[in-house]
Amino acid sequence: MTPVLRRTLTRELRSIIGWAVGVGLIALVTLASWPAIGESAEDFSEVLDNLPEAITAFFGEGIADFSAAGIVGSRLYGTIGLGLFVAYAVSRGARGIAGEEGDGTLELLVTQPLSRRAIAVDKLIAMLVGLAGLVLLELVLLLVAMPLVDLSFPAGNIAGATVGLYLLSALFGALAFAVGAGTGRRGLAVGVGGGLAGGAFLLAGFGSLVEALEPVADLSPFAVYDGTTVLADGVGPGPLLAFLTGAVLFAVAGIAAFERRDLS
Amino acid sequence: MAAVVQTLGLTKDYGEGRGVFDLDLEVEQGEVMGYLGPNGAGKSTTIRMLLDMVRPTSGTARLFGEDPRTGGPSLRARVGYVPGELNLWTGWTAREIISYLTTMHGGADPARVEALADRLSLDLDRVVGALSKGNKQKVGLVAAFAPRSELLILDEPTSGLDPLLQVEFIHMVREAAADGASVLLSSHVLSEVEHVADQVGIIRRGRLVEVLGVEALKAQAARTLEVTFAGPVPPELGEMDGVRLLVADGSVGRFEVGGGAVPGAVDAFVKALAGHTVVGLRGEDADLEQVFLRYYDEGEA
Repeated sequence: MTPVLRRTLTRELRSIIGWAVGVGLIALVTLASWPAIGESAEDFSEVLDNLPEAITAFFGEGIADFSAAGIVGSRLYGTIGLGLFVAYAVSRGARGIAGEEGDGTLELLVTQPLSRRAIAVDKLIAMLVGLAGLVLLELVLLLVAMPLVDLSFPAGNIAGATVGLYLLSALFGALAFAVGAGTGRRGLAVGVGGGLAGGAFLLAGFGSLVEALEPVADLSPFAVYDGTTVLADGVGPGPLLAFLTGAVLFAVAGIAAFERRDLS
Repeated sequence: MAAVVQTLGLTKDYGEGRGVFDLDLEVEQGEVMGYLGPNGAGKSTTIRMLLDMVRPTSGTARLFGEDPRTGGPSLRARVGYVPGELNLWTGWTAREIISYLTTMHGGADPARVEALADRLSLDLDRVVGALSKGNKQKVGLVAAFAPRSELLILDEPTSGLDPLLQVEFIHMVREAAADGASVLLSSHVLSEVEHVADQVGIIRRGRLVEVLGVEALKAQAARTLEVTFAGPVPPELGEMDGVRLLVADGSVGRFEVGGGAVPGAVDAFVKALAGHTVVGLRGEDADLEQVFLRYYDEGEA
């Protein structure tokens, strides 16, 4: 392991604890509350049946039938859970190069016998490793807690949802990384990464409400990765491949821009 | 002898007259080059081009004959660098940061790190967040000197150090040069480099005004001579070429003699003095800072 990667990961061990607690709480509260929610599923589903179709569409198709896969999936892979993972990836992606540059410590790194590419790759790896840790944590909690609350989802769907969650978060993390590496501005990187993620999320929701938005809404990654359906229906290889390709493209573009520009 | 640092027409144009223009600079092996100029003159920009942080608009830079842009890590492995604005990672002790930096540089003898830290009175076990600017500077210096690099590039390295440690720093530079290292040492104050530099390059507004030896620089300095005459101060002495009467108080006159513009002024003045009865004569050391400031001021008007 290179000194830069070791240093970045060692530092991360301390700060990732807060994120891990957040992920753990969401997973545990969601799963622990399922028996109580499940019991009143009939009442809920009556309410939902009477809601306008547009509203249920906005909250995700899987919500409509008030299934376990829909509710649990929405929390862990759709709204709050997904938001947490994307936020983590964006924050670490932006910090990678732009954070060091803003702190003024990048100058000491790039004047060492290291190539800019090696530094950038180390920073990307650190972000991906941290993100993997959080995603795995959620997976393990889900697998351990499922039998305790009488839940069971197909293994293939869980795997698809997990990989999708990881790649989708990495996509926005890589975008934030690229903006940070290309401009040296961490705030801009967080803004672009987080803003586009939030915008795309809302777009996927509003797309089903506003007709004019429908064609563009399909471009939103959240339209093909809907947390409320991933546990019930699984995730096809198409979206996964698309997320992966996007993430790689952003990463490569970020490294290329970083290698070419003047550093402050 | 091959130049360790060589720039030819090196230019970084930031627009509006800011940047570095047409810079031809050479540092030979084992040489200590003082790189002097006011703040904002382009010293750090030059150094950043040498280290491939900033890419030149035109011209070339070579370290050990290689382009910093393509020389990459193997070239920078031969260079120790202390940035002008030194920022360190927080939450680490000085020792951890030095080890982080020197490991990337191929490692350094821990005993040498201890010895250098000791010379600069740096406590290696203090956490960096709590360190003063001067102490952070020491961390940067120890990390740069410890691996015994062939070229040291030091950008305003003594800012924040107290005067006793500045002397110690000068010893460290001399030792490195004696070991064959070349040193590029930037500063905005001549006194920081005059005791250690072989050559001094003066940069003003992005252009290299002059490169000359410290001795040559000293020769340009005006000397102040205080002469006590038997009678009143002869006024005609102050009208000689290259001589200025600063103060006349009865029989005591203070003259500023020489100053680069008139090379033989001291000799002519002393010979002219011989025609008068001189009771006392006292000379004062050349003020290099004045010479240096003159370079800064030229063209200001």
